[in-house]
Amino acid sequence: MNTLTFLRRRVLQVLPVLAGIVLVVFMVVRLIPGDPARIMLGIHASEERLANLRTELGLDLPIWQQFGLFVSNIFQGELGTSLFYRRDVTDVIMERLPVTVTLVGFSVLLSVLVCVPLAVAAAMRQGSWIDQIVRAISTLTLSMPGFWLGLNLLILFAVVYPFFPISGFGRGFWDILWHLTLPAITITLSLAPILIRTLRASLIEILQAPHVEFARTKGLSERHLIQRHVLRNGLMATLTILGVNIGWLMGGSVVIETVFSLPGLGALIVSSIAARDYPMIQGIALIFGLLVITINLLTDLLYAALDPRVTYE
Amino acid sequence: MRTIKGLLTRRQTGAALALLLAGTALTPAAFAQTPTEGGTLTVARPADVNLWDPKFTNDNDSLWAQGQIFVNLLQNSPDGTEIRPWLAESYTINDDSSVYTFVLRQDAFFCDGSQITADDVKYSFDRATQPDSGVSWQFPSDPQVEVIDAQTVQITLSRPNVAFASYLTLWGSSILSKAHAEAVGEEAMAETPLGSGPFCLASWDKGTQVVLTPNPGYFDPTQPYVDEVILRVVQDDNARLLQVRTGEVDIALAIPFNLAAALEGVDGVTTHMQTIFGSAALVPNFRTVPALADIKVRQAMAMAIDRQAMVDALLFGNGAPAQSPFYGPGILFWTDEFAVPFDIDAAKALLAESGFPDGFSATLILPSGDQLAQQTATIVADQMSQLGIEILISPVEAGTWWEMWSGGEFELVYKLGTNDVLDPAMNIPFDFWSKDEGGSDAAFSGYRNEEIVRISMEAEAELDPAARTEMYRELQRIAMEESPQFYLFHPTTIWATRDNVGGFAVFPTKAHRFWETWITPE
Repeated sequence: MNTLTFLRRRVLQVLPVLAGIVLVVFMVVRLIPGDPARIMLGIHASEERLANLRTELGLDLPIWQQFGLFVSNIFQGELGTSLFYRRDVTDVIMERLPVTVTLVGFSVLLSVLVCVPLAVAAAMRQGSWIDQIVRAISTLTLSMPGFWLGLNLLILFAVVYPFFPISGFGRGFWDILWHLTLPAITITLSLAPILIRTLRASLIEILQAPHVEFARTKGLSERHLIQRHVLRNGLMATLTILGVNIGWLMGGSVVIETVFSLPGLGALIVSSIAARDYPMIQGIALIFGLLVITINLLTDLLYAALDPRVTYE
Repeated sequence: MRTIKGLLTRRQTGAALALLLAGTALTPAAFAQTPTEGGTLTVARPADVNLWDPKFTNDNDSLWAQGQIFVNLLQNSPDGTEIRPWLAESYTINDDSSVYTFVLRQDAFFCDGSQITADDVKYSFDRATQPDSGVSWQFPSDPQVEVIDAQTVQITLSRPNVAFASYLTLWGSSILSKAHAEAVGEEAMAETPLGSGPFCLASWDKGTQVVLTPNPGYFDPTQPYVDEVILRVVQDDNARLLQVRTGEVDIALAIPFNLAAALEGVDGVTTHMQTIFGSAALVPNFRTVPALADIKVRQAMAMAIDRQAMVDALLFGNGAPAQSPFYGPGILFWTDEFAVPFDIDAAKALLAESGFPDGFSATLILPSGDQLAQQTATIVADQMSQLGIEILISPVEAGTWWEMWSGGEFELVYKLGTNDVLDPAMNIPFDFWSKDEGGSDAAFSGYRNEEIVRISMEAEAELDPAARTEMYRELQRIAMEESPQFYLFHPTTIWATRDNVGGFAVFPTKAHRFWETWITPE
């Protein structure tokens, strides 16, 4: 099967997944206690005003009808109007999406750049002091809570030694990179350890394989070995882990976004849940779903690119 | 140009004056005494504006920003004790306080240069009282707005309401441009407002900052003083503190209690505090806990609460014990003459006489994540245990907490209420009236006192301040005697300014005005 057929098939598979996400989120968010109208009006909500507001917002329609409206809106490319912001859900999401995507992208890049050399060094000199240090530091930073790490970095490198800004996203390519450095480092300190351990383990396994032994006897240098024969194999498992983690990072970035005051999607979905902003929650869940699916797709494509044995069957 | 003859030449006079001023400028107090024109004021706030449409706004960070760009018919005086005309040049109230007539200023313009007319006022009110409005609660007594002529507007109420004028100072009564709304459409109002007040929205970098610039059409020739106000979003409390400390921002709002001490004695920064019109209180459910329906039990509990200890421990001394159902000593008609003393022995004696001498157990729900609520609950539980009453603390997600409370599915609930105006009438329906009467079943407790309801309804229509004082005094007497809620304390809001900032204050309603603020170069 060629790439195009594969893609077409995968895109079709996406649709039921998305439908499932939409349905589940729609139901779950309405099952939790809390009435958006009452939350909006607060303590000044008289029964009459509540009833009026619910009617205006379409909240008193039967559930299946609300769902029907939501779905038909999606097909028209509309995600509805935010109950809280009173603007198009799509607009608000599009304002916040670049922040989260850039943050996650930057963090992943940093993680990979950090992970590969360290894992290779640790695997090649297994048991040596380099290996020990890499593993020890990995475990250390992995076990630190992101919030705590982020705050400490903030205080140390944005306040005591003001190299970086305290908050915000910035404007312009370099300004944004500068603003995202501390947040990305915080995420990397939690993500890279996982990647390092997996990659190191795969590399060690491969380095002991017969074909690698044979290559050594042929006289190939370790470096050549790693680059041409070992790394590509070793990356497979790490790739899976990375793919899964990126998906998690999209929503899990809320903690980092709060510490560094970044106006991203993670923070948005949390505040929308608190406000019971149904259209917004549904919209973001849909976008997250799409993002995770896209990343999974890219991961699969990357597999095939890296390993010719993998076919699309 | 006239030359100054006399003792000193012009240049010498100038030099002498400069020396004099230099001397006075050395003291921080004198630094910012007289308003200086110009400059940029940077303010650090905990959150961004969510939307610019007052009709749908009930969150603080949005409405305080909106308060800078929209004008109202009336406003509070700077010391907060009276209501003054603002967009209205003058106004008259008829004999029974049911008809309010406003004459508008001729020299008030929107940010686009168009004049603010009676049509805009009518449009704004009609819009704010629509069924889908989030601020319809600010318009009790069904106001009907009529345009008499281009400068005159008349508001007729369905029943007399003496407190109505104070509601007109709230954000729901912001004057919006009818023409602008028709041009951009309803939805765009949330994002692209047209200012009518002292400032205009120059730019909104969502999630990062808001920039305001003076409205050339604002009728006060001297204000605003500054050329630009930047409202910066700094979510983290520590970061806000640090930014005002380093001078990165000029004002930092919403400093938490436990961090205020860190700014003491820091050069160039002053911390300020203001007790707000707000009360932390516990609401008992008369229906689900029979013991709480027993008046002696409630009186005993009220006496066993050490309110001052709470203020000292939780607010680091920055606040006041609550000894009235009204939301603070600055509220009109407030009195603490019926204060409940802290007396454990008397409390125990009262409990022994009640129907539940061996105590009882009740669950207290509070919004999770709310530090102040959690700490307050812990102290109360400890104090109640001395009476043999067991309080089980149950933090609950905020939306769920509100749902449980408003649905009557609780035993005891923690609440922090605020009064956005000087007049106590704003919260009385919520705290004491039934749902049919426009209230909330006495804060969903099930408490009912016919006398309080009767008095408060009459007081709303009572024109004579002396008579009204007497009525509210009686209301407070009954409330303190029967303890339908356990009134705990009035918290304080804390903010920090750099010493070169003048004219800035946060009112007990938590509102603030950047157009009265100036900044002298450091």
